[in-house]
Amino acid sequence: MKEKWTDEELIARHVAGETGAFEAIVVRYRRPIYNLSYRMAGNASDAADLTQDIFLQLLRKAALFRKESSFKTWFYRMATNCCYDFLRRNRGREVSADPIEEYNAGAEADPADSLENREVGIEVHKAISELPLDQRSLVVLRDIYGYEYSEIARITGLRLGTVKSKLNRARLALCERLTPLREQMRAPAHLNDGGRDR
Amino acid sequence: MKCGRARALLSAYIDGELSHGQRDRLDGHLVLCADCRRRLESLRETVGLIASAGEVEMPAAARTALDRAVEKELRVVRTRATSEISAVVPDASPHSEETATLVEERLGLPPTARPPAWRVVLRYSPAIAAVAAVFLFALLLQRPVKQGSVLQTERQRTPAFMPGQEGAEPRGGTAGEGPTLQGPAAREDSSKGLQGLAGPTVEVSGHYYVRSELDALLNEAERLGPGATVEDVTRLQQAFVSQMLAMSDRIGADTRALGRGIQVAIDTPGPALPISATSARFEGKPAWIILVKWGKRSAGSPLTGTAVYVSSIVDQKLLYSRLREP
Repeated sequence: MKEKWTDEELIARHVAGETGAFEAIVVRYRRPIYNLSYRMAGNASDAADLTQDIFLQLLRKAALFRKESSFKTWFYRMATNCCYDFLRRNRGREVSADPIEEYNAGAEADPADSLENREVGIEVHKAISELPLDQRSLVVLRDIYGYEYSEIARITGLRLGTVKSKLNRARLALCERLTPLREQMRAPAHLNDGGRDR
Repeated sequence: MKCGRARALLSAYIDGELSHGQRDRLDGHLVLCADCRRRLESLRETVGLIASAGEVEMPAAARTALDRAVEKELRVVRTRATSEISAVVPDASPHSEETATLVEERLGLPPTARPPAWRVVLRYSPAIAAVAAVFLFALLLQRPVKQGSVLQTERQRTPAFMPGQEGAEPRGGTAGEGPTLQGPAAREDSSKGLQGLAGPTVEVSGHYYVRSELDALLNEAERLGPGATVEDVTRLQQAFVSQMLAMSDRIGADTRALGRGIQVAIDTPGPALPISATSARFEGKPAWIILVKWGKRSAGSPLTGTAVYVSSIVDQKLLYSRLREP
C-alpha cells in the first residue's frame, strides 16, 4: 500500500473493497489511538481493549465517512466517543496496575528513554488520569497532539468557548498537582539526588 | 482587568488563542501583576512537562492482538453478503418513481423532481391495463392463484443467488421437492418466478474490473430467472432495492453511492430489476457495479434484457453502462 495516499484515499479504497487499505490505516493510526486510549483509560490493559474497540468501530462505520471534515477529525471524534462509552461502562471497576510497570510496558522499544524522562512521564500520566473525563481528552488533544482549539471543538463537539474554559481548568489543576515535580526539576542536580558527592 | 479574569485567559494566552483585544488587555495586566506573571510561568512549565511526556509506545502484545482482531473482522466484512427475501413484497405499483422515492427516503437524499401524476398514468396506461386484465383473469380462477401465492412464499425461503454459481436448480417443479404444480396454477407460477434468483446480492470485492469482464457478468445475468416477465419487476423491485441497501449497510459499504447507482440503473428503457451490486474497482476507480434484468414496457414481456451500470463511489457519476436488449 502506497504511503503517499491520504487518509481519505485509503478509506475510500477500503470501502471500495481494496485489500490492504484498512490495514494501512491501522498502521498509520494505531500508535496515536493507543495513546489516546491510554491517557483516557489510565492503564495499559484497558487501553489495548479500547484501541481494538475503536478500530473495529471504524471498520463498521468506514462507509459513513462523508468528507464533511478531515478523516482524522472524524476518526478522533469517533475514538473519543468510544473512550467515553467504554469508561462509562466500566465506571467504578477496580484496575490494579502498577503505573511504573504499566508505563514501561510500552517502552521496551525505546532504550534511549532516560530514567528521568520516564519518571516525568509517569507523574504526568498519573496527574492526567486524575482529571475529569472531559478535561482529560482536551489535554491529550491539545498538549500531546497539538490540535488547534477549533479542531478540538469539532472533535469533541464542544463550543469553542467551552474548550477554552475547560482546558484552562484542566491545566490549572495539573499545574497544582505537578508542583512538586516542577520544583524538583528546577532544583540543581546535586540537590535532586540527595546531595551525594560525586 | 482583574486577576480572576486574567487567570481564566492564561491557558488560551499560551496557545495564542486569544483575540487581539483580549491579548492586549491581558498583557497590560501582566505588566502590573507579579502574581499573575508567576502563575503564567507555572502554567507554561506545566504545559511543557505534559508535552515532554509525549507518546508512549504501544506494547507489542497489544499490537499483535489488534492486528488479529482487525484481520478477523475484515474476513467477516469481506465475506459475500447474501440474504433471503424477508421483506413483504409490495403490491403492484408503477415501478421506478416509487422505488426511486424509497431510495431517496432511505438515504435522506433530496427528492428528485417527478412528472405529474397524470403523466405517470399515461406513461403506464398500457401496463396498468395489462395488469388489470391479468387480475381479472386471476379472479376467475381464484383457487389456483392462491396455490401459486403459497408456492411463491416457499420459493422466497430458498438460498439467494450467488454470482458465479452456475446451473442453479429450478425450484417448484422438481419431483419430491414441495408441492407439485398442476393446471392453471403451474402456468401462473412459471410466469411469476425468478428461478435461480431468490434475492439480490451485495458484495464488497477487491477485484479490479475492466470493460471486457463485464460481458461475463451480463452472460451470467442472462441465465437467471428464465420465464420471468416485467410483472415480476413490479412485484419485486422495491423489496430487492430495500434489501440491497440493507445488505450494503450491514457490510459497511457506501450505501449512499449504491443508492445513487441503483437510481440510475433502474432507469432503463423498460422496467428493471436490480439483481446484484459489487463494490470494487473499475478501471482504477472505486465503483459500484450494478447488474439489472429488464424487459420491454408491455404486459407479459419477458425479462430477458440485461444491463450493467458502473457508478463511481467517489462522486456517484456514471462511469460506464452497457445494455443488452430483451
